[in-house]
This record gives sequence, structure tokens and C-alpha cells, in this order.
Amino acid sequence: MHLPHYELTIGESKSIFEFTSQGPKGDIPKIIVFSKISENGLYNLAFGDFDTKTGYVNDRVISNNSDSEKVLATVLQALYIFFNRYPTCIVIAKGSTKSRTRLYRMGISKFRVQVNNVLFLMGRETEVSDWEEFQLNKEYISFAVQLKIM
Amino acid sequence: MKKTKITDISMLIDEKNLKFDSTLDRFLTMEIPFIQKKIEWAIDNLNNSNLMELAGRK
Repeated sequence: MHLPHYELTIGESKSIFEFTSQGPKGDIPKIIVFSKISENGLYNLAFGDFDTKTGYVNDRVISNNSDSEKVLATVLQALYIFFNRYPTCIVIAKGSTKSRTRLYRMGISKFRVQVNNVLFLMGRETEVSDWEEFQLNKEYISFAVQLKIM
Repeated sequence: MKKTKITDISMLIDEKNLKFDSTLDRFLTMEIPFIQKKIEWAIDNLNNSNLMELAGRK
């Protein structure tokens, strides 16, 4: 049932995670951070290359480590763990570049069927348009997700 | 392959592939530039947005 993903290291808060992408470009440390934005339970998901051992930040747009699906599945695992700990929160995310946003969009579309029973997905097409329920084949630039009421 | 209907988020968590490190939490209070940028975007994005309404919070 679990898609192939990397081993995650989790902080006690369950809102910070790290893992290592492995591929032709070598081992690339990644960090996933859920940051509280407002008192009404809104969190931002930030995901990027950051070595927690050295403090090294890598701002390269795409790692090109030939493991994008596995990386996305790992981010999704972090999201599940976060929601298991903070079930009433809403998480919003935006790719730092067009290509990364496209990657997020592809990932959400791919995993949508699997998570449809438990997650409510939303998207926004421009910075000024309304948020709407996520629909396939729409070019959203930002995304939001919350747990469905079980 | 038999399909399992997912009714609880915990069913999706792969417990075998998790490790815990409490020292990671120190980064939550640090100003890491790429995270700060995302937070600023998120705060700006909330203004004049229907997100909370769509999420059933209003």
C-alpha cells in the first residue's frame, strides 16, 4: 500500500522532517518544514535542500537526481504524519519555481485517488483567483490540503 | 492486488521507515531563508482569499 519513499527522520514536534535523496547526482539532504502561519490552524509547507548537519543550503532549482516520484511520495508521507498529529490544520504549499510547481501538480494528480477518502485538496490558479476544490488538468500555482472529517 | 479503502490517515503512514531526532526541532526557530520566503508568501496569500471559507472554517 505504501509507495516507494525515503526513510524520514522526524523532530519531536512532528512538523520538521529530513531525508536524503539518492541518485546519479549523489546524496542530497532534504528538509520539509510545516510552519504555523496563523492562529486558526494554517500551516505552510516548505520543502528544499538543506543539510541539518552542516547548515548548508542548496538553492539549485532542481536536483535532477532522477527520483522525483520517490521524493514526492516522501513529502506525502511527511504530510500524513503531520496530519495525524495536527488533524484540524490546513496546509498550503507553492513551488518555488514553475517546474517545481508542475512537479507538485503532477504528484497531487497521481496520488489524488489514493488520498481522496481522507484529504480535501484545493488549488488556486493565480495569486488573485479564488481557491477551489482541486480538479485534474488545471494549472494551479498553489495548493492547500486538509483532512476530511472522518 | 486487493484494494484497501483508506478510512484513517494513520493507515497511510509507513511506521517502519521513520526515525526520531528531537534535535531537529531547533530549526523551527531559526530563520532559514528559503523557509522564510515561503512563510512570507503564505501570509500575503491569505489576505483577500476565500481559502478559509472553502475549507469550511468560516
